[in-house]
Amino acid sequence: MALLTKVKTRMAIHAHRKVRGLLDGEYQSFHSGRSMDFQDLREYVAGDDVKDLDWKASARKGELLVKRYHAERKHTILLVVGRGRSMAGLCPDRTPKNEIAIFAAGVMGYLATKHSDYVGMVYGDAEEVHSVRPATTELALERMLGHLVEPTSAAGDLTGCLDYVTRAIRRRTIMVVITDDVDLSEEDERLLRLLRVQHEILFLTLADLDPTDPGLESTPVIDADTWDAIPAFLRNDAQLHAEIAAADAERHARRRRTLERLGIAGEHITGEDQVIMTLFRLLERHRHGND
Amino acid sequence: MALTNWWMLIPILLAVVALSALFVLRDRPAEPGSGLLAANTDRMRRTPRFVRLARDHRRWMLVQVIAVTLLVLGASLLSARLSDAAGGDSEQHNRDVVLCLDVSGSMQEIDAGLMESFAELAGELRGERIGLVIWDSSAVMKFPLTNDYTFIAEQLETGVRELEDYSYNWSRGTYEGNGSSLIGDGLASCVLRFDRPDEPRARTIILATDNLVNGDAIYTLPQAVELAVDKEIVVHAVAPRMREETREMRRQVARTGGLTYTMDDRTGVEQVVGSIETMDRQRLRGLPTATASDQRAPGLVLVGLGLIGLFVAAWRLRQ
Repeated sequence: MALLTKVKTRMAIHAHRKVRGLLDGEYQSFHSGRSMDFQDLREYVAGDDVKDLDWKASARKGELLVKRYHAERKHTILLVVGRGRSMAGLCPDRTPKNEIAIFAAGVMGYLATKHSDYVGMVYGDAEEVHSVRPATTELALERMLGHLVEPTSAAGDLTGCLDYVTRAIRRRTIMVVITDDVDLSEEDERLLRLLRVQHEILFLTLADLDPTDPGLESTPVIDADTWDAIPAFLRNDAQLHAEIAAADAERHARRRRTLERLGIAGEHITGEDQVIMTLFRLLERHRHGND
Repeated sequence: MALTNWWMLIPILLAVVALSALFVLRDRPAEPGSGLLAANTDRMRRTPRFVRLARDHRRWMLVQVIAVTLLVLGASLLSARLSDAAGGDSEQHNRDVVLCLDVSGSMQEIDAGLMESFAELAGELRGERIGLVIWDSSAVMKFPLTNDYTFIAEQLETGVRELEDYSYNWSRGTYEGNGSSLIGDGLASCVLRFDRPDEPRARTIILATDNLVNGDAIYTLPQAVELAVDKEIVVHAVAPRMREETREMRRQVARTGGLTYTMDDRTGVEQVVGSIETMDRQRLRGLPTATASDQRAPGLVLVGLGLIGLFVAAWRLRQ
């Protein structure tokens, strides 16, 4: 339980008791009113929890039936996390992005397990996408987080992960997307619009270290894609630094507009110490958006 | 144009290969943990400023590569000593002159005159070699072809003195054959005195004789002249006065491209020597020469250009 323990410790470090309580509260209020679904029986589909099977009804009908009320009452948090090589890169605060992803996913997952809700995960890169069956235990969450420890050598691929979710996840979930500081493509937008129908979506982006940041001074900076050191003539160029900052701002504005259009709450993280507050803000914005 | 120390190119080539290999091997991916990892740098690569910076950088790197190439080429030329085979001076000093003197009694005056003239001439010579062969019924080499001019002058002056004293000691060994003034044998002996047959040198024999053959020679004059023609040796003849034998000799000597002079007094000898000198010089102009001068200019220009390029590029890249 090393990863989850670390997440809990960091939660204690980064969040005041008050905020932590609030976060808990946000999570609860987020779900209020959802347990009033009409109770009925429906056919079993792959992925349903075997515990929900209504054996007597199944015996009568001659096919497997699950208790709808019971299954729907428990919510599912689906963590959609990239684990391509870009996750090996650092955030501006020099924390590896995959650590921040683990932290954010861990906080969301931990809150869910505390409410005995399901936590599932979809993770992948441009080469392969995997999913972990939703489960309620901390051990299962720990195992999910373990998949994020070693970023792969393939490029990150948000579109691939989203596409996978549209095809493979049938239940309604609260999707927490943790990804790079992406520029959403038309395909991404199409997939998100599709997913928005079925899921609640929280969109979390992680900032990248800017090699031209003067604050880095002469610490070597290595390109995570090519493993080449970034030469000094680029790093010391103030104009390049300004142009990168301008491009970043432009991209953020573009993404914010897209997400607003889709009704998705989005937040951007530039360092580890912002994770708790950002998640809090994200949940709150989402709640307001839903009311 | 030729490279004198062409083998110097081998270490330079090896050094270039080794340094290139070092650069290629050094260009490995960075070690994990050797720096901060930055992802999604393609966003930086898409900015116009990056495109400009990268293009400039590549341009100056190219300049640097060209400069280093020039530098290496220049250094190669300098260390391999590029040399030019064409000599600038028309005076070429690669002549061999064998004085071939008949020391029979009648020739004494002319011999002394010739030797005296050549002794004086020795002071002005550079690169030319002079040898002395005396003969009567058999030939004796007094000294071989040499460019030790003090030695030549000394030997010739001794010869003059000894001749004037009628010293048989000096001309000992020239009476071993049957007869006297065996011109064929004498000339053949002189022809054989030339060494370094592979080098393009002007070879001249100055044959002083009255051609009064008396006795059985191994070589006849035409046979000896044939030998000289084979080796491209020019034979100039000097005789005391024009007689029937002298005319025969003139015909033979003409086959080698040489001239025949007759004279009666010492001023005549000096004129003869002067005229032989002029004639040989003219003959030499057409000969290829072995003298080579180093051509430093191309190497220096390349090294200079390379250094300038290298410094300018380094300065630009540092900015």
